[in-house]
Amino acid sequence: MIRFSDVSKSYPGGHDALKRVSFEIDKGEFVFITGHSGAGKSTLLRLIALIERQSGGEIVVNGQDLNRIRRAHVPYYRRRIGFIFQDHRLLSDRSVFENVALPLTIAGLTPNETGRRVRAALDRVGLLSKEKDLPAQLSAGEQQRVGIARAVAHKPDILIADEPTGNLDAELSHDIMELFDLFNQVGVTVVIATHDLDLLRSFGHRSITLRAGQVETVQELVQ
Amino acid sequence: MTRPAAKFTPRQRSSIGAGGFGAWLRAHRAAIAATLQQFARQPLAHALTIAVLAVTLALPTGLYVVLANVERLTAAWDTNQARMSVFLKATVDDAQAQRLAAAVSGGAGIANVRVITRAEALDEYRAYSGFSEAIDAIGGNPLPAVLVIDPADGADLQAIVARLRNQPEVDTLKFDMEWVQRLQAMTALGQRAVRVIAGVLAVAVLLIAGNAIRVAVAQRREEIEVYKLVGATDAYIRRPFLYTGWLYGALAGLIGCGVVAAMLAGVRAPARQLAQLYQSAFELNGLAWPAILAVMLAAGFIGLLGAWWTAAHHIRRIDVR
Repeated sequence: MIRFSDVSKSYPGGHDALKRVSFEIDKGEFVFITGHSGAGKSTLLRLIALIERQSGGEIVVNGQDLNRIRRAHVPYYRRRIGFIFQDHRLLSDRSVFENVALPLTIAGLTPNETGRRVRAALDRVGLLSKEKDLPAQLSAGEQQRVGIARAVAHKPDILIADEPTGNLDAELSHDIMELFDLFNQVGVTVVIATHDLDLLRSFGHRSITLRAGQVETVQELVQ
Repeated sequence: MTRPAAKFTPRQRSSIGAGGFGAWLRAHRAAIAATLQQFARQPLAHALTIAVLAVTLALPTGLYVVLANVERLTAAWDTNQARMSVFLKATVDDAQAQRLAAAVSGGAGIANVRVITRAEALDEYRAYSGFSEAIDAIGGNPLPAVLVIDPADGADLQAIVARLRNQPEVDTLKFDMEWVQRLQAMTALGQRAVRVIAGVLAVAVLLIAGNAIRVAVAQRREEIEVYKLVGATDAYIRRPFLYTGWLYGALAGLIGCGVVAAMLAGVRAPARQLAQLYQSAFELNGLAWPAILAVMLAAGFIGLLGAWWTAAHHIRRIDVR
C-alpha cells in the first residue's frame, strides 16, 4: 500500500530530515512510526500526504508513484487519505457537523449524502449528539475525535495521524487508539506517528523507529 | 524529477464518487453561501472597501453624465448651418431694417432672413433678462434691430460677410456657430479626458479590489490550509473570493451611480433656471437603468479581475503546514 525506497528529504540550509529511508506497509496494516522528536516522523507522514515532496528516492502509494502526481492533482490524491494532526485543526467558526462535512462538500457530494456520512462518522466517534456545537465548546479529547471523524468521513484508503494523542491524558489516548483500531478492522490502512511508547506497546502493532532521519529498527507485530 | 505526470482515471480521482454538473452547481452554491457568510461576518470591512470603490467609480460616472448632457445640448444645434446675427446700428429704425432685409434676402447665397425689430428685441429682453425695471428706468429702447441670416448651403460665407459689412446700417456681425464649434471641440476634449480618467480609475478599482482580496486570503490562511488538507482544489478555494471581488465591483458600481444621482439632484433646479434664461427647455438627464447596469457590469468585471489576479497567486502559495 505504501512503499518507501531510498527516500531522502533535505531542507534548504542542508538539514536532512530523512536519509535513504526504505520500508513497506501492506494494505490494511496498522503501523506506528516512532522516534524522538526531530527524528523525521512528521516529515515521513507529510511526504505520504504530499504536503511535501521528497528530495530523492521513490514513494509509491496505492500503486501510484507520488513523484508523478502533478500539483494540480494533489487535491484529488488527498481525498483518498485521512490526515489527523496533534492540533486537530478544526475550523473554530463552524459547527462540528460543518467541520466533518468539509471534505464531503468539497468533493461535491449531495447534501443528503453528506449528512448521512457525517452522522455515520460522528456516530463512530461517539459525538452524534454534539453536531451543532462549536469546536471550542468541546473537550480536547472530543475535539480530536471530531478531527478523526473529519478524516474518515470520506472513507479514505489510508488514515495518517501525526501525534494524535499528544495533547491527551493516558485514558483518552487509549480511547483514541481504540478508535483507530476500529477503522483498521474495516480495512483502512493506518499509519500513526507517536513517541508514546507505552501506548504503542499496549496496542502491539508493527512499529518503525526512526533515528536522525534513518530507519533504526522495525519492530514486528507483538501481541 | 521531471517525469511525465501520472494520468488519473476517474475512479482514481477520488475515493468518493462525485462529479458532473450537479457537483459543479453545488460547488458554486457553496461558494456563494460562503461569500455571503463572509459579508455577514465582517460587514464593516466589506462596506468600507465597497465605499472606497463606489467613490472611485462615482467620479468617471459623474463626468460621463455631465458630458452626455453637454453633448445632448450641442447636438441640437446644426453646425452646418452658419447662421449669423447682424446687429444694426442703433439709429436704424424698424422700417429701415425691413428694407435692408428685403434687399439682403435677394442677394446671392442667402437662404432666409428674419428681422428682429427693436420692439421685439425689447420684449424678449424684458421677458428673459430680469432687467425690465432697469430698461424702464433708462426710458426709450436702447436695443438695436437684428437681422438673423441663414446662408444657403454651400454659400460663400466670406463674400456674404464682406457684402454685409459694407452696408452703412450694419454695426456688428456674429456667427452663432463659432462658439458652438468651440463648445463642441471642448466636448470632444472632455470625452477624451473622461476616457483617460476612467481608464486610470479602472486600474485603481482593480488594485483596490485586488488588495482587499489579498488581505482576505491572508486573514483566512488557516482555513485555506484545512481546505487544502481535505482535498480542496485551488479553484474551489478561489471561488468565494472571486464572487467577493465581483460583488465588490457590482455593488460599488450601483452605489457610485447612487452618489452621482444624488449630485445631479442637487444641481437639477439651478440647471433648469439657467436653461430658462437661454429660452431652452433643457433638462439635466440622469443615469438611466441601462447605464447603471453597464457601470455595474464593468465594475463587477474589474472587481472579478482584481480578485482573480491576487487570489490565484496567494492561494497557490498557501499549503498545509
